[in-house]
Amino acid sequence: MSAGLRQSMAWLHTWAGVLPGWVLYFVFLTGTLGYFSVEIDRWMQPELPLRSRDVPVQQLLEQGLQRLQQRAPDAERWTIELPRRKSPLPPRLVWRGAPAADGSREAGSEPLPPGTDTPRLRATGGGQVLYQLHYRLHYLDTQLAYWLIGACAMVMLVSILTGIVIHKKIFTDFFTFRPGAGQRSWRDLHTVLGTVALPFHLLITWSGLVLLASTYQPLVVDEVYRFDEAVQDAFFIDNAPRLADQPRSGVVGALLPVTYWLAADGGDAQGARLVSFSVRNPGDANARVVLVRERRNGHNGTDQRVYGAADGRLLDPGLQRAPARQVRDALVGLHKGGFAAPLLRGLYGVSGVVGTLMVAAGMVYWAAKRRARRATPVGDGGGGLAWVERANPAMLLGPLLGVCVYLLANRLLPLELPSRGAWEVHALFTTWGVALVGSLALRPQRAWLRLWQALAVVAALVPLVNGLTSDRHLGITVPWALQQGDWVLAGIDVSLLGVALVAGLVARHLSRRTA
Amino acid sequence: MSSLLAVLLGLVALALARPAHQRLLLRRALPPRHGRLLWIAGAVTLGLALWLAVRDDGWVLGLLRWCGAVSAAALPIVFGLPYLARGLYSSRR
Repeated sequence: MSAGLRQSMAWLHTWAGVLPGWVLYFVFLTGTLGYFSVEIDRWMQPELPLRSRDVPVQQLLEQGLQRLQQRAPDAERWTIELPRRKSPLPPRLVWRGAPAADGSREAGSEPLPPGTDTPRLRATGGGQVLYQLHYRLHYLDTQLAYWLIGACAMVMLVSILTGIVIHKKIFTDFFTFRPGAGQRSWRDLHTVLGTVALPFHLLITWSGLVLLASTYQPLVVDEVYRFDEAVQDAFFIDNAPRLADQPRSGVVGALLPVTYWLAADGGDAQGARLVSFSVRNPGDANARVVLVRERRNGHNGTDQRVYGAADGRLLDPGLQRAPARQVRDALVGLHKGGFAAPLLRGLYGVSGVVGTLMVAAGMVYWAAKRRARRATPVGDGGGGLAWVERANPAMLLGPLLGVCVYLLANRLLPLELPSRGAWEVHALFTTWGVALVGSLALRPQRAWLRLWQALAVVAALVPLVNGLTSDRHLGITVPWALQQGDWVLAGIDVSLLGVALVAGLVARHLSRRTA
Repeated sequence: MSSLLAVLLGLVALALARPAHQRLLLRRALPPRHGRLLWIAGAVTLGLALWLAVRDDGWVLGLLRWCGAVSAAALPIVFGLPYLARGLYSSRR
């Protein structure tokens, strides 16, 4: 390969990586947390029971249908939500479109089996908000955020490919890390982290682009569905068939027994698992049954089948999709990792952390390399380099600090506060903003030190405040985990203590170096 | 877990196959023949790990798990090697 080409690629890699680097770092960080969104959801609602009672699916469905018949006989839709592999949430009954006394239609839900104590759950953004931050950002129009994230993802893909080209000894240097060697250490760190999880970086970036392809490539939809907005609705209907949404016929119809649906589902035999049982237009001849199954070895989480409720006829087999759609679904499934068992999800998490650190190391290396060529001290001299050096501490540690404050806000904000979940997110971004102001005001070495110290304190505060404000603290969750093997709640507190420990060690190291 | 362990062993062998790491840990380079043997042992063990993962989970999930295992197992080796070497020689002094 010619040196000229490699040099050009190196230039592209450097500038393509630096410009959206902070956004990519935030996307990697929140996307990695998204792999544990259900666990974070559970931590952020400490009112949930530690575990719901184990009741066979057939019994749950029979009890649920009986209860729905009593509670909302004329509803437009009944749904019985069953536990998922990843989700700890107890089974639930949900109804929509039930006639209310004032003539309107109402929705409602209650836990299953009937009679279970209903915990009053606090309002929270939970892990879902953290997950959504990685593709929707916040305080921005959704379409604008999609475009912004798409552009950054494209740049990331370019950076990965050019990184492969410029790295002459990618496999020989696989294990090369030289600590304490200044900017060379940062380069080693960036390269090693990029190489050890290279397949993950490629997969996650490429599939992320595919995920929102219809946003970035609207002309494809225009070509097939024309430019008329009303006709373009057909695109979305084609992508989400609505065979289940049929009008009522007005003729009374029966629902086949639960045993029939369990046999039709055939779930466990195929390694899949029934996670939702819905009846649309219950009691009507035009009723539909929708079975949603979580696949064991599938790559797009769930699939859905629609049946006639009275005759059991399969109306939409769900799986028969066009090949292009199947490829897209597989890529999207691989991106989200929703199908992954705990070990594989843990590996997704490790790879996500590696990606986050790779981007961070790249940002620090960019500044360190340029500073080494100048005579002025770090943070001085004005221009882009000084700005990057001064902003880096807040842009890299600020989001982490913000997430810890987000968790603290979950425990400290008044339970009755209106829009409580939104205030949790405001707490995250306010913290980040304060960190940025402080970082720009201080010299970079001092800013790094103060932010690492702040992270150590705030991360350690989360389990402490959790212990003072809820009964899901380590004193309860660790014995529970040792007894039941359920480490979700204890794992989050222990991870935060780990973050506090690492941050404290780094702060001590920096403090000694600057003293 | 067996495939994760095999990946770890394979990567250790591959790391030790490099003269730079041999000098770092042993303060001398091994004969080239030993280096080649370590390289082959590492590659075969990584292949075995891939076979174990694919056998358990099929091609798609097995390959995915193997790639994840390589990432996870490489981290302690990459970041442990220099500090392990420092620890070894500072305690001998």
